[in-house]
Amino acid sequence: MSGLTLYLDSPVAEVGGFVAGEVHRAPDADGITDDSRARAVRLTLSYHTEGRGDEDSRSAPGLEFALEAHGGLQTRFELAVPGNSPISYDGRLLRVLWTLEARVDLKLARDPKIEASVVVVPRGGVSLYDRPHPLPSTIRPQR
Amino acid sequence: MDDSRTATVRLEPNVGFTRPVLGAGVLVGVLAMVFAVTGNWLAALVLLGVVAIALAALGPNRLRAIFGWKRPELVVDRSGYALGSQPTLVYLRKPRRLTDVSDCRIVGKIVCVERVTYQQGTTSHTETHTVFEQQVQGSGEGTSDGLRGEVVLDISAHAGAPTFDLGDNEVRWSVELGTVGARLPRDKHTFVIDVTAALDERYLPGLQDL
Repeated sequence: MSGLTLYLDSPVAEVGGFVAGEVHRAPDADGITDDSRARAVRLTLSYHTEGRGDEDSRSAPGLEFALEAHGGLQTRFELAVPGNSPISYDGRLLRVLWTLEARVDLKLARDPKIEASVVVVPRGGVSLYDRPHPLPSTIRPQR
Repeated sequence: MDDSRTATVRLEPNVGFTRPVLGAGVLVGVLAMVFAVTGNWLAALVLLGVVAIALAALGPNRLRAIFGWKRPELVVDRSGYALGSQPTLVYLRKPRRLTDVSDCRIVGKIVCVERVTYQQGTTSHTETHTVFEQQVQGSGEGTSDGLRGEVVLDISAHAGAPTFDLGDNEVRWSVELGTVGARLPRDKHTFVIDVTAALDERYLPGLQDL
């Protein structure tokens, strides 16, 4: 169990914008009689492709939060979506999927993680798009 | 259009079999001359016949395009085009020698394709799928510098995706253009354009009411 919870302000982010929210981790020790084995939480925003082609993937610069001695954390975060990134895409031959991953750095143990899907849309489109391109002909942004 | 923001894009010539046929024609022609010089007239005539058939296969339009006109250029915005935008692109084509160019039509289409590559053993395969295709049309006229035309594109805000090339997965936009008019070649050329991951300002909240 990672003990992690991710809260996103919005699951939709613009290219060149930010993915923001809060990350929580419940304490797993009291920090006085027993220190937690958890040392930090790392947040990584990345994309990968699925479909007919070979996989492409890339991670944006991440964030790392040091944990209290009891292993607890409650903090806000803001991760930049690089301006030259691809948008989320759900096509015939390929898909581009964006994921926010939170991973707990555990001393001498496998690092548990949780993930949240993020939809990255074109700059200026956060109020118009709520799903990956291409959009069905019945769902189109209105001018 | 401000010159510092524009560029002419390289085209992807739809040469098809033109170059191989022309190359083979030149080789066979040289061979025919060798036969003629050595007195083997029958072989020379046969080979000249082959050259004539090759040129006929290319057709007068293709020959007119090759020998009468330089390759066309498209003037585009260096910064690319936003989704939902309707840019006007300038099409230019210069003749190789003085030619009277009458008014003409610029015809073609704008296309968005998905393109993926994958390895199977030691072989690399490529697949493409057309996501969006729309006819475009404009007008052209003769100038002192050759043919100059304009076409207005309508870049869909919802179909396809902005241009991206991730390595093995790609979305690419292109414009295929040709001319229709008297004494103009009816060949077509494909120009790659860049569609940016931004929505045109016409779609931004509030602006449409200004």
